[in-house]
Amino acid sequence: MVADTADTAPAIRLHRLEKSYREGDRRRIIFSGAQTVVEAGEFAVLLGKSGSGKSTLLNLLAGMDSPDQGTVEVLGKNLPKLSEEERTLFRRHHVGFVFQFFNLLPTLTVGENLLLPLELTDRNGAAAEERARELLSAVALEDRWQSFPEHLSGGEQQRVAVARALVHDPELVLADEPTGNLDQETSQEVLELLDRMTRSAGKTLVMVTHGREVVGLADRVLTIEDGKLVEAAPAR
Amino acid sequence: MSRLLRRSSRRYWLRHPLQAFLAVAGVAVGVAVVLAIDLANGSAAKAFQLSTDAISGRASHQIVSGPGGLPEEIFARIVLEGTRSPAAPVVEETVVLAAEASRSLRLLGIDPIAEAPFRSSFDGLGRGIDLGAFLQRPGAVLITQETAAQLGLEVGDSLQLRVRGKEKSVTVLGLLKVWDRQRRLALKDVLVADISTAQEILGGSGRLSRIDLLLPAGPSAEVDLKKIRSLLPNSAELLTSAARSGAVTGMTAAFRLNLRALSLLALLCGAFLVFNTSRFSVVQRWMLLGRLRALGATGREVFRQVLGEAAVFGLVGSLLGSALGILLATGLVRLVTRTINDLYFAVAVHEISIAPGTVLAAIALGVTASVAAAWFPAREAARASPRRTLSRAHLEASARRRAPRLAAAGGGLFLLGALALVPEGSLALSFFGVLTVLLGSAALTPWVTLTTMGILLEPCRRLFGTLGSMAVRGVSASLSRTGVAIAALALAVAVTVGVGVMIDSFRRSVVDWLGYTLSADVFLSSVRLSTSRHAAPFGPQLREDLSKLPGVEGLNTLRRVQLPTDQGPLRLSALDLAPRAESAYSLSAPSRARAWSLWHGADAVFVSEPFAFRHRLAVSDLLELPTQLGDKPFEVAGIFKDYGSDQGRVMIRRSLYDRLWADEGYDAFSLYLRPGANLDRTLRAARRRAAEVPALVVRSNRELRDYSLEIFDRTFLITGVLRLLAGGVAFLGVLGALAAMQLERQRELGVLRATGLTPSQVWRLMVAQTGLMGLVAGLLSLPLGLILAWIMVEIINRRSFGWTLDLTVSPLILAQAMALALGAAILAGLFPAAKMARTSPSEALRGE
Repeated sequence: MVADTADTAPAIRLHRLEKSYREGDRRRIIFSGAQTVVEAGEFAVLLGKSGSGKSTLLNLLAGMDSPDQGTVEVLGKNLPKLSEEERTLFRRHHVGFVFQFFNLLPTLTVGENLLLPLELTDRNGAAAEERARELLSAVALEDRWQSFPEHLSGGEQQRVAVARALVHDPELVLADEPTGNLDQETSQEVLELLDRMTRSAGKTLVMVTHGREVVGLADRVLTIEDGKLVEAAPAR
Repeated sequence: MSRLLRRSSRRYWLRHPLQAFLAVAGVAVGVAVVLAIDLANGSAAKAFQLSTDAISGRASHQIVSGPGGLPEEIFARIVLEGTRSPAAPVVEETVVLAAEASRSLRLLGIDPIAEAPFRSSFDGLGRGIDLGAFLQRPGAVLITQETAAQLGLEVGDSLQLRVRGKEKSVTVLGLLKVWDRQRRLALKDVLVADISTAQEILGGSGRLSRIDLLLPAGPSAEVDLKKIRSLLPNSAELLTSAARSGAVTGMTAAFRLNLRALSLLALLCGAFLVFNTSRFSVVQRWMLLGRLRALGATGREVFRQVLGEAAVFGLVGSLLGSALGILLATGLVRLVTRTINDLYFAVAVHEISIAPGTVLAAIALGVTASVAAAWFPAREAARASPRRTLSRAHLEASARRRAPRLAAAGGGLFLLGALALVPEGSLALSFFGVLTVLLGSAALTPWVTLTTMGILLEPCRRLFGTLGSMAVRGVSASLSRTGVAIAALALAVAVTVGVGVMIDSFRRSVVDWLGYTLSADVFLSSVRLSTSRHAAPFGPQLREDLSKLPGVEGLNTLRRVQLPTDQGPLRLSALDLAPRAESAYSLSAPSRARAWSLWHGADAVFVSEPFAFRHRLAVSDLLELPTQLGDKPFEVAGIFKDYGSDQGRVMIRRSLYDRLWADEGYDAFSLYLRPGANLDRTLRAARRRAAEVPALVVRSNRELRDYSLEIFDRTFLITGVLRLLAGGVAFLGVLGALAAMQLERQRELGVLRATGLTPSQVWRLMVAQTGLMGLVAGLLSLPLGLILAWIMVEIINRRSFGWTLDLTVSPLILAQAMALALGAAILAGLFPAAKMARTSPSEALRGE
């Protein structure tokens, strides 16, 4: 059963990770022997130039992409060894995602966007709604339950996205440049929110970002250099 | 900027080859169908014209008569007293091979001396063919080399024919060398004989089928015409050749117009496809266009870009469609000519004649339809402000806001269509009405979609949870795209329902009609029962013999002739009815008893519904017919239902016919058996007697009924093919629309996959959404299809042919339509759904 995860295992263990893409006739190497370990409850930031492979790493951690070689162990499961269906179910139960472009589902109301991950994990009815409303209240948007995403500002949409990523209580939260589309003040709000909510719940957070302002909040800072993950000293 | 705009446009389409292909394919199939129908119609008309020309030659006028033909002396009097201009006597009749009764040939008797100015086809008579032998040798005939080869004949061979119950032998005197291919085709299966030889073969010495005249144009012709008319017997008519052949081809005008209207429907579906594609291309590039506008591209430039793309699709599609249309025409021409042969007149089309004008017109139509279809999307793209074009939500919001206004406009179009259907005179206006009703319903579609989705939202949410409401909302959220796809599908299905109900109603009416018309037990008629063929009639002896067959209680006889009139040939049926037959006629008359009493005792006739419609006749009106005793008025005693001919026919009792026309022939008989008589015994006896008569076939009641329905089904085969093609184009449209819509939602689907939806859940969600679209299309198509059926049955059919049909709606057709709409939508959604379900979520999230 993919839902069973080892409590004592590190949240993430990458070992001799190889990943490349074909670009026309050439092959572009993204990771070449990359490895690292992120412990449960840690907040790891991943820095790097555009195109260095930060989003690819998140996709690998979410089981949405597969490495050419190597181990991608998340919550004790080696994802490349799982089938597509098993990876999806793993993601459904254990991973929350926050995207740069908010990516709320435009055809669902704010409340329904929050209910979707709960429904997918078979949590329905009044308890599910209570949980969703609780999260929405935590991001201070309780009055927008019935609104459609198109009527929300960028900052509000991203706060809903944070709530959606946490609503089903995943052990791992992956955030792909969550502040990339926000102004500085709103970025700060969202970062603090994400940090507070994941830390208070003991979640592991891996965030890809360009902005160095987040470094101050993180436990670990990783960069991608020449296809390898390099540890940098955290500012904290 | 414009060069870069063009480049951007080209690259966009190179990246979306499926959409480009579907747009081109839509126009291509639409143009192909229109062109194929035009070419098939044109080829049939041309073949008829060529065969008329080859046989009638350069005659300016013709003197014709009804049954029995013209007395030969008329020719001598016309030459001596009427005119000094060329005149030529002609004898013409269909004969059959003794060895193969189903193989008919045309016997053409000419006077080779008088012939020269008329028919260049027979110029060869003076070269290499012994004119003396042609004139004097009994049974001498000429045939073309091709016909000889087909029949396996050589010069000197003899050929056995069956003519009016007797076997006749003819000898091939020589082979006609006709260099012109078209004339050669027109003379296929024609036996040319000297006029006296032909008369002898046909056993009608002293009678002519017609006299050809070559009168000069101008006042001197009027003098000649006046003189000639004074010499003619009462039953003869002097007609211009153009009027005669024009009247014959005019018979098929409504048939051809109906085919053209159906083919235009296919083009309409094709245009919808272009509209779809253009709209999608604009919607998909909404952000790009916004950026271009923000960078300084003018609205006019954007407008030109979108319209230019449509023109290119239109041109490429039309060129491909033209090639496809020519191919398709070779198949359709067989269906068209078979119907013309079944219903109107005999014509053999051996090849498609490709008129460059027709092809160019089809190309122009395709390009125009494409550009017209892209007009609104292009205007939409050009008018949006740069700020707004950057917002997709605005586009969809405005589509939803516009839906009620669009629905109101649709209601207006409906009203306009209804008004166009009111005037009785113009069939073209009726078709315009149909088109307007169709467009009106397309305009109603977005509002109906929103309303239906509003109703379905709560039940779907309760039943399927958030994913259920997502599927429902997805349809209304993308209204700018779903609306068009649903409209295209609804139209196609409505056309299927409309044409299906019309054909079904027609067939049921025909079945009912056959039920009460075919009341006899055994039927005997010439091999070709259809009304367009005229073989030699049977003699009175056969009537006598049949009445004495075992078990026979009563006998109907039928003689079918054509009377020449200014409006073309008039079909007259002379009937001798057994008492039991009378009750079988469905007569429309104030008093049935009075109608039959007039039929039996007065100079009265019955006319069929189409005849009454065409000649604007009502019961008690007078109808003048050219009899051999001169033009005579007949009271219309009743109007009867008759689906046998859309030209209509006049029914006269045999005894009255015998008094006014010297003709003792019969074309068909039907026998009533005594109660308790053995049908098989009578059938066997009838078949034994029929074996002695060439070209006579015996059919039981059931066999004749089946045969009649077979002809009916054959007639509507082409309608079915066109319906299928129009549906095919619409399906392409829906496929393109759904593919484009689903593919552009890949980011949204990527989010769902990232959130934990399995590929099969994504697949189900997408298929559910296309199923919902099919449901709306099906719901819309049912009332629209029934309205279309009503218009076709009550208005188009009546105005085209004069038939009254009982509109019958089979629940099966409605269920099929619903299944078709749902099936087509789901089928069209399968490919994009499978593609999206297979796409890795990371790729989907990366976007385009």
